[in-house]
Amino acid sequence: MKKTYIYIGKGGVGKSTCSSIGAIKSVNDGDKTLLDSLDPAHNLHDIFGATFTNKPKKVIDNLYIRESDITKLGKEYMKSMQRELKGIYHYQQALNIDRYFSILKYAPGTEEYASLMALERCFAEKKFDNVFIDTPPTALTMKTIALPSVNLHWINSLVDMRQEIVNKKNTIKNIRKENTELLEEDPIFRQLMKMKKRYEILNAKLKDDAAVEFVLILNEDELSFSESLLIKREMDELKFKLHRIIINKSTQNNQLFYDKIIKAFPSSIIQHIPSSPIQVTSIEILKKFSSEIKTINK
Amino acid sequence: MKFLRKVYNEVKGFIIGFNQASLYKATAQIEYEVSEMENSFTLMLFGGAIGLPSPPLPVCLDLLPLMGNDLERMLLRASQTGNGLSELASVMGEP
Repeated sequence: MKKTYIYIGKGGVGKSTCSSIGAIKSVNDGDKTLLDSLDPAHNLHDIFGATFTNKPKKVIDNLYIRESDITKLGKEYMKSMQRELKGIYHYQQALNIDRYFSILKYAPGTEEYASLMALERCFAEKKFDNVFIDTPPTALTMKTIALPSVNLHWINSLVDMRQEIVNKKNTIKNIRKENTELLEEDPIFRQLMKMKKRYEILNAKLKDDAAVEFVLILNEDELSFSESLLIKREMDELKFKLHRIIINKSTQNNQLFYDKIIKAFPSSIIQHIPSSPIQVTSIEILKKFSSEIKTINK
Repeated sequence: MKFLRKVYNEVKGFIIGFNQASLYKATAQIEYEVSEMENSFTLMLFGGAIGLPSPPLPVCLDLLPLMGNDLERMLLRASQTGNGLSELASVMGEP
């Protein structure tokens, strides 16, 4: 069954490396695999020694790599909105739609929405057995995966309000013996329900253990551990599960630290990848590392 | 006979018109309430422009194509904020 693996963690812990190792392991298991980088500071071209674009590129048999251009996705979304609104608001010269949209691209929330659209695109991929996602550093990633819940919270309030407005309008029409309007005939209510369905599907997908696996990457240091605890707290608030923890660049003999991790993440599988002086710059080296992943807790 | 029929039609027309006016008057307060609710709905979506907490931008943008009339109403309402009380009085104060 198709599964999406989302690699999260503090900047610089090795999310790109670990997601690449995961992708190589998936290819070795015979699965057609897509590795997608959502991080604006892409690293996959350094790891694989090739250039990548916004379209999946075949690297070896069964392995495709894409470096999603979040900025471009955001711009395309704004352009499509601009086109749609220009036709409707053309008479509103005072609104100055072009200037409004040139400012909007910097508005809070635009970057995480573009990131969410890239994530949605990964979920919609039908050609691949597994999708591995290398995410941006913590702040943007957490805002992105929280966005469906946040949007749903607002949409539910707007739906209730709109329902009340339509009901009151129908009360007036009943008194005046005019034809009443069904709730589903209100175009704004219909659009709200469409949006609600979209975010409910996304949220359900992120919570579906069979479809999505969250993998938290950390290093053997206190800063990395502290930030991982913050990530766990936010994930718990959103009711998302941290399925797996990977201790990257592990010394392999820090049992105190491993015990601390096992205690802090009792329901996650804990693995470690040993530290190595070898730079990860080729598929052969990734294959070597994929065979060295060890599980600490069973 | 013709005269009686004419009187009958005039009285009938008067009663129908009076009935309709009564119906509209009965719904005036609810109409005002609906208008204020629609205004609040629009403000909830686009109040971010004046510092009110509002939904994430994509939620607002996805609804913007359908809210042309509502936005116009809100802009008109904004220009009449000084007369809000008098508008309320004109709806509530009639016998």
